[in-house]
Amino acid sequence: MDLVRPDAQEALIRPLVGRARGGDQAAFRELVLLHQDRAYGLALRITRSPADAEEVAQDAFVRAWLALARFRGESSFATWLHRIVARRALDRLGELKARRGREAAVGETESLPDPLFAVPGAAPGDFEAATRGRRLERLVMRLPAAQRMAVTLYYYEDRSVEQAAAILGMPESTVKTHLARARAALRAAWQKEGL
Amino acid sequence: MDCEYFERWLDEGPGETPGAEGHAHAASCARCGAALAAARALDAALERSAIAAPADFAERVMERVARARQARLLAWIEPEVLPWWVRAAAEPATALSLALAALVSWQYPVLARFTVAAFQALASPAVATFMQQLAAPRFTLDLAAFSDPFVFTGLVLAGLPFAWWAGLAVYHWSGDPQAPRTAWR
Repeated sequence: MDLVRPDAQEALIRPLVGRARGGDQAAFRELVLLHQDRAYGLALRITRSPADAEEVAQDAFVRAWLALARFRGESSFATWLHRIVARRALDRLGELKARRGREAAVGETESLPDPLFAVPGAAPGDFEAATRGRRLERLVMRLPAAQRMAVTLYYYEDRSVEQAAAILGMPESTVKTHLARARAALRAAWQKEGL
Repeated sequence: MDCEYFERWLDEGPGETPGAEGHAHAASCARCGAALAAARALDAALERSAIAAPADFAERVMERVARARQARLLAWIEPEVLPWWVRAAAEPATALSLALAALVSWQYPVLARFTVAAFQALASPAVATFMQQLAAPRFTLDLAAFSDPFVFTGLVLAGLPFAWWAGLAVYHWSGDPQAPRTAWR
């Protein structure tokens, strides 16, 4: 499970970034291990396809590696990486929509394999928590893309509204609106399904 | 506080506080009380839920990184990596044009003699035949100047930039349609 908390572990990450910028692949591998779950999760929540999410996340890491020399540390590495993942995932989503249409992408949500969703802190036998987690994920996956990204960054990535706005390239007010609408939709579905 | 305002507060997020008035409303209204309980459960579930990357994800990334490193000499095809003038200079058509221009400047007398000889041997008879066929009264354009090998060579050299541009356009047009078009920086 991913251990990275964006604010708390930046000090741990910064030396790794410095070494990776110098061409140290071992350091970059550490960065991949620290960020892979969140990067993959963000890509999955945007693309709603495990195969596409893996491709997008891997591609984002490779692009980050190639562009590390241009990373100036003005934002955290995680924010910078997530911006790459989000843009790549949005590009991929646009391609998928153009190719298959939106309905097909929604249909894929139902075929997401259960082991993708892990509930931190849940005991192995805690089926109720696991089931709730999976059902919640499915509810999140049904949100429109903009709301899905806002929820993903704000809740799952522990980003502030300001950081989410920077990653998504949106005004903060827009992110707040997406969050409010997503919460309303999720809460309604949550109550409807009796979770 | 009414139900509509209370629900609006619920949707604003966990950072907002309803105050004593909101809690009093939730306690007195069964519907809003249930909505508050659902919102809290939802927040808790959102905090706990996470997705794990597939097994061997990092290994596959590092394999791609190793391949990307080997291919970095060819990175000029990546729009984001190098400035446009470096990519333009690396285009094969540019290199060919520069090599040809250098050859013309360096060995102009030899090339001129070769061009005249080649033109006389190959092109002149064809041009003469062509001109005879065009000698109809209705066609008055004088193309005789094009039979001069220097004019002909000059036209070819003048056309090289256009050939380079066309080659570049065809190269980009025939690129991978799945390649990213969005700059992410």
